Amino acid sequence: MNTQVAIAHLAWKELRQLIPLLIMLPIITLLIVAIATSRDLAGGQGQRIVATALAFVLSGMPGLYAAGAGALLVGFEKEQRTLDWLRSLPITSLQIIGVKLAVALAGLLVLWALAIAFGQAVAQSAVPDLYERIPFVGLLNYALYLLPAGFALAWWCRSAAVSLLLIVPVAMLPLLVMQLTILTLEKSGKFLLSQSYYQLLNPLLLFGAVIGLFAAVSLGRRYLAPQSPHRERWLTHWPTWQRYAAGRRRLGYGPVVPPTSALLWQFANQNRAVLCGVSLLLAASILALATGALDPPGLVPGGFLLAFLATSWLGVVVFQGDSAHERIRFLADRGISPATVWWTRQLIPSAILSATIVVAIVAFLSPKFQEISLAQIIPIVMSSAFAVTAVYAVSQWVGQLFDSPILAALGAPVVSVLAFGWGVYAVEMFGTGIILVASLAIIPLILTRLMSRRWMDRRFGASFWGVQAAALSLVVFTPMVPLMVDVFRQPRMPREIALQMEAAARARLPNESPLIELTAGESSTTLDQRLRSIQTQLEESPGPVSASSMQHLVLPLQGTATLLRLSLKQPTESIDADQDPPPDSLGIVVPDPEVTSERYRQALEIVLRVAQRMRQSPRIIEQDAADMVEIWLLQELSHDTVQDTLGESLYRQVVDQLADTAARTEARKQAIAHSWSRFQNERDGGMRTFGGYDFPGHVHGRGYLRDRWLTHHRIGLAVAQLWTFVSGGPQPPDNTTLTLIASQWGNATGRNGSKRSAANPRADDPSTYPYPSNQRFRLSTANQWRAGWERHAADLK
Amino acid sequence: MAEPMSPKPESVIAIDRLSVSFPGCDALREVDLQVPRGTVFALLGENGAGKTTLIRALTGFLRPSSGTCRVLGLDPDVDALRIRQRIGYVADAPALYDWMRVGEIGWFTAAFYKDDFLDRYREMIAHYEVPEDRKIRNLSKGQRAKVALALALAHDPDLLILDEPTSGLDPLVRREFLESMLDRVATGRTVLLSSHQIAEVERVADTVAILHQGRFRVVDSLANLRETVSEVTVSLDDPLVQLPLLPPPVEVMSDQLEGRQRRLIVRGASEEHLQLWRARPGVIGVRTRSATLDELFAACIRGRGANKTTASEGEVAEVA
Repeated sequence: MNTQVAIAHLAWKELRQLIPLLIMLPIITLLIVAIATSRDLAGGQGQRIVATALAFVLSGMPGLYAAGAGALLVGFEKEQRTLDWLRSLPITSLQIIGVKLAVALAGLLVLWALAIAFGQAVAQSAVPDLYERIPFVGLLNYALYLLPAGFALAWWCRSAAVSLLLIVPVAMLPLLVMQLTILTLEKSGKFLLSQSYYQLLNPLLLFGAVIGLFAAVSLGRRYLAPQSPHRERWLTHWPTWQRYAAGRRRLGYGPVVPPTSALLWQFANQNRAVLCGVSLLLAASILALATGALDPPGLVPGGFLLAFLATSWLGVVVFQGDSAHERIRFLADRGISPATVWWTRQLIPSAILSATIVVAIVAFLSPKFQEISLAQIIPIVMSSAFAVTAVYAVSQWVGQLFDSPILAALGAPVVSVLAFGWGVYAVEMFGTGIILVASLAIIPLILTRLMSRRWMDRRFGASFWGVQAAALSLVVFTPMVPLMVDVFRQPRMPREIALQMEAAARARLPNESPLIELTAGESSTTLDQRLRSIQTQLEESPGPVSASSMQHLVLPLQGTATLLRLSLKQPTESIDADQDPPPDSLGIVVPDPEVTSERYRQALEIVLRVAQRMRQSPRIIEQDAADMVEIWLLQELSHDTVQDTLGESLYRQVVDQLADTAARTEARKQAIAHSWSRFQNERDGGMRTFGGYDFPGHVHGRGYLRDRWLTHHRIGLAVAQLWTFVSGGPQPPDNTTLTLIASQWGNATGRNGSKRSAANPRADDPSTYPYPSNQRFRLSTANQWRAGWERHAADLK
Repeated sequence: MAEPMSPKPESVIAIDRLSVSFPGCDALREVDLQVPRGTVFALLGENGAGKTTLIRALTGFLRPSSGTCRVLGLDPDVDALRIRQRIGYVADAPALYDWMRVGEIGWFTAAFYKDDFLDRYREMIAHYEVPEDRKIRNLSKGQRAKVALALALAHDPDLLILDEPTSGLDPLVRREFLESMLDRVATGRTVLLSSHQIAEVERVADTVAILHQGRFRVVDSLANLRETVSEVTVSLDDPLVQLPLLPPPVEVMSDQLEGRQRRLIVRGASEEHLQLWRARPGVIGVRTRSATLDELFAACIRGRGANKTTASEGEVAEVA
């Protein structure tokens, strides 16, 4: 025999046994990480959820593996009796034990590497303080401690399930030693910093790993050694045990009981070790939670973890005890009703869980019964019952699906976390109602009942998996239903308009440079300097002028120009040029009319260029700003002396700009199309803004994705309306359309039409239009589109 | 191929054109069968012939791809649970709660049957000499088989379906058990026995069905088979001598050439038919005797092409 080949083949076999675990854990982990780090959950309030989920997942993956590897490689083989065959091979027991441990350790290293890679990716992308929140190294060390401990327990226990249960108290041992050390130190007047806890824990874990390794090898060698009847049956040599055993034997000869009683007896006896262990875990969890307010602080999360694991394993045991060795076929062969079998499997675990919930609630709330009302208690009871039912139901579903009790016991808690994560995700992202999500917990229960006949008959064919897949789809897709209903109920942008806008958006913009925001020039003290500064900015930056320039630059400039025009009519002799500050610091009141005229021309030329540059913008807000600038220019042109003051050339330029309705309409259409395109690509700062405006119909608080969909649809409809409106020709629009647009874009209805009382009325008649002052100025979407001022402007030509 | 039996009103099992297909494999191909009440019906076939598939279809553990079957007048597709309650079934690898003691499993199972179940069970366990206080997991293979048999028989079912029941039993218990089957049949019960132990089947079976590659090659009463199936040894002066074709319903089930002798298993051949062979030039002599069930079974499984080197020469017979 070639020993090396034998060991290699043995290692291959062990690896094959571990592969389901090595695949299942990272896949489920990846799903949980994907859910936990998705948009919006990773920010704000979601931070705590994310950190908690990831702490569990990233550290739990190697930990779960380490706890289960021994049960899978040793316990499962013991139950299948393949270890008996293995030890009949010409290899030493030390080789069998060593190969199992080495392969399991290699698997742990792989999962460590994956956990670190996941952790790095998450820390870099979503949760930067991940490593501050999670004692990562300590948790990885925990896995190193659990691995040999799991092996030792698996060699020691007859049942793999019991060895898995025992790993829980063994896992807590280092924490207990650490706490005792801390308490001892504190009693002697020495206090440790909280950071020192981990410095204390890590050596403890490494020491425990060495002890575990020794125990695993020693117990393994003992198990694989030739059997000694004395060793196997030591309990029977104990007289008391013999008496007890004799008493038990008589149990089988009592009167025949009804089928349900017999089935309950069978379930309880078959799983008594697991049921007792789980009950102890639940009791320990209640104790930990009840004393959680006291030191040490780790008791509360520890209590929750214990309660979670115990609930999950109670779910697993519902079907796993009967699945082992296909025992359930015994009942199937005798035609026992699947319904009876199903509910007799549920009764005892449900009773244990119900009793635990009641005890926990009484324990927590009894000191506060005087202060707390029934209305406050009911939600607590309901949410506890839901959480417990969900974990229990998902776990029993996993227990029915998996043939291996080890995989079921390890997979069920992870799948439960995944299911819980999906529920949280659905609530946060789709805005699904909590009641609906909670009601989905019943699906695994219904499913296990529906499948109980096939499970009993061991008929795991295509239809079995088809139903499972359908149920899984139901669980996955039902939370999306409210979102989908909203999406499909919401009217969509007409296809024709979408295509027109798509074509328009593909057209090249006249000005593709970035938007510029004009400033008044901090160092400019005189009007000339200010005008020069603005001109320089316009020459140096070729981009469209942003609407944000209106308030602090364009409107003051318009005011200055108006004053310049007015000053041309005023006598200037009385003005003392030596006043301090000099009067032309505003540049308005100067003795020389020629200078004033020149400055007026310059100001109007700048305003004209600003309007032209605003028209080149791909956002609709600049089109509205340009409208306001052009309305002001139109009003300026209506004054008698302006044409002379501007001179023929500049006057003609202004008139050409104002009279070109077609170019204005085209610019608006371009802006709508590009704003829509940019909105869809989220280039303008997310879903809340469109074309530079905050969209008032933005939906929030109904789930991140639902908000996005609804907002998208609403904006799409409003944009389609704008497109139709702008393409409507020169005739005045009807009031219904104006009101609709106003309501879609959040414009006060009174602002439309030509009512002078409106806050920002439509400029149907420029001569009576009250151009807003700087304080009252506010742009409103499409407010001046197709208003009367455009026809007046066209008439200028 | 065997002719389907004519339907009888008292049939406990009635199968009509039953097919069961798995991906890449047709386990049963349009099988017809009638099992009369009060008989021991033996189901024979090599490994993978479809015996267990047929039993699983009859007990509702498997849904047929096509065709119908009825057990005790019930459709297994609809009334599987009622069928299972009324029959006794011992699977090839019986599932038992191995953590229970022998006595406990009887007490537990008694909850699902009539009142006298436990007494009968205890009688049988005592008869089989299985210790009642021993856990099932600590029993030998044979003892487990005895427990499984006792559990299947204790409610005195109308139909007993046994899939390799005697595997692991010692010869004495096996003999006793098989003889007890005859007692059951005498009281109007029916036994469907699937087995490889042909010699034992031959001792107790009333009717025999041989399943080969998903089809029944033979379904007939044992007495009839003994009368009609014979082994014919033809001595030839030259192995290349061709034998004349025998007219229907004579069926040559197997044909082997051993030197200058051809050994054929023939069904339905009379002395007149054999005379045709005797009269053939080159035939030195023809001897005949009744075939054993073992020989018939082998003939069904091997067919005419079993001995390839001689089969091509045997093709000259072109019988059946």
